[in-house]
Amino acid sequence: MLGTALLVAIAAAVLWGSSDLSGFHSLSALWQGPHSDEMTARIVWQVRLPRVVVVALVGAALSVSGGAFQALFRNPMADPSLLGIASGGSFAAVMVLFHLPQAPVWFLPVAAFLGCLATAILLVVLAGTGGAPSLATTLLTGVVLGSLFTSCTALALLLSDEYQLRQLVFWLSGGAEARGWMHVALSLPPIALGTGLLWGVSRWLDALSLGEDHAQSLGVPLERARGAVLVGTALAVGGAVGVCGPVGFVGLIIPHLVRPLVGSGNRALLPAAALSGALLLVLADFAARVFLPAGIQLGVLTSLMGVPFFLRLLARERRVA
Amino acid sequence: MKMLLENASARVGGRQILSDLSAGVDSGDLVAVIGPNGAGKSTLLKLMAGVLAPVAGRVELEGVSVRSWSAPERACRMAYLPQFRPLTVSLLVEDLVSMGRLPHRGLWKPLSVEDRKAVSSAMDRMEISHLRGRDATTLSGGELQRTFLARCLSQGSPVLLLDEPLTGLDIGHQLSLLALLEDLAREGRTVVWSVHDLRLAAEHSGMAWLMDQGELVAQGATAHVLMGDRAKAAFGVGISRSAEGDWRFG
Repeated sequence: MLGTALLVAIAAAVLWGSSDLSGFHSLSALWQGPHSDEMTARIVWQVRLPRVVVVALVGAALSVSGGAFQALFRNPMADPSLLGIASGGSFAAVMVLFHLPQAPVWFLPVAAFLGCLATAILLVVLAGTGGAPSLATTLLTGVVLGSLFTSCTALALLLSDEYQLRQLVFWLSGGAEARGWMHVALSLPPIALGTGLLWGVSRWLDALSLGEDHAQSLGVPLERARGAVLVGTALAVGGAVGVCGPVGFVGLIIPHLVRPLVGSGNRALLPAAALSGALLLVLADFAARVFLPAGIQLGVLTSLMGVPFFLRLLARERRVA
Repeated sequence: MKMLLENASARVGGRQILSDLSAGVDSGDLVAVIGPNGAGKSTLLKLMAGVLAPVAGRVELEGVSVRSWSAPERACRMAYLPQFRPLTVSLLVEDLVSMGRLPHRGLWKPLSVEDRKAVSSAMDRMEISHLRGRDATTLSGGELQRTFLARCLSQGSPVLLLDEPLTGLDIGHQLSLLALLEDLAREGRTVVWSVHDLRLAAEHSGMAWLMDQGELVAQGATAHVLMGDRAKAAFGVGISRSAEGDWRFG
């Protein structure tokens, strides 16, 4: 069902857009194939379709990572962007934009992945000094790392000239403006690999969500499991951040929306989260493109949606406590 | 299955919690770990379970250091129930119990016929079959504890290490769990469990290890351990038994 909804949303997003094409025209353009010279076909095949695919990939990557992190940290608030992983990736990408403006395009997602991975490792090392890391320490360390990288990024913005500034701000507000097939090619491998890895270890995630001592008792190799989750998340989030910039809150929201439907077992939860995350982001991007004033970025929109959700979650946690 | 502690010591957060423990258990043993609060009972079980590494000495399972077994191999031989903690994720009772089969099926194999049998017999033994479709976060403390116990049983391991398994259970379920532990020992399993109720320990556990301030100060037949001077010193209360065999404390 989720799959159908996603297909419908993708179709809608491909068929309608800001340029003045009727749905029928777009459909016939789609029919003509990617190599047609006609303007309409070019718009549909070279502008809309890759953009929608990129957005769907990013939504899937962020949601799966969010679900995996929530199991690993046994905390409903855990999310790669809350724990600073995405900020680390963004910072690395900003450094590339800032210092190496001539770098080839593929360099950006690679840098974002390395930034995410480095932050994830830093998180584990810092939180783990002095014995086994408690959850609270991990979360706090993540928040601290996040603000560290955010301020580093802000510093980079301060130091940049007018032209760079526009470029950086545009990139940092997270969006899929002008993303082409190349971006699909850049983000697909890390995202597929990362989410595949996370899905592969989903039974470990289930066991980890009971607590580390339960997980060990169930024969989960703790170090390997943690490593797999961190690398998988870094790959997926790095792939996403590398092409779209930081898009917040998707990883936090989606797993919560999906859990009542498919339960907390990660073997079912993660694919469902991937589909719904893709769906949500395609719809949000579609809405941003068609109904909202030009230039509203996807990241801004998801953050706006995410904040009330986060507050509701917080209220519920407080009630439970 | 044999387990051996040899001059084992453990530290938690830089503090020495256990020092120089030596003891052994074998198939058919049912050992109650007793001792005052903070004596190191939970740490001892963590050490035996391989969750914690000894800083000195050895902890062996079948002659091999506990931590040298691969995690799944160890889990097939030994099930460990951590101290009770409420559940934070919503899982179905049946799915939670099925997790006990993880070390046997790994990351990819579906539940086999044998797995299903182990799961349903574990649920039967813990009397939670009627709860199988319930969300485990909605269970009462005692029901959840029985679910965790069923998870341990479904693992089918010859060694069971249970940290305060009676937590949250009503008296009826306490007694049936104790009867079950006695059955398991009779079947040839090795059961080590920690407990605060000395009377239950005396009546249901043939052997006892007395912990005090991180040391294993007495071990042997439970009645013998309880009547000894070390028990009096550890708990700070007099312990005696009447001619009818009733235990008296204080």
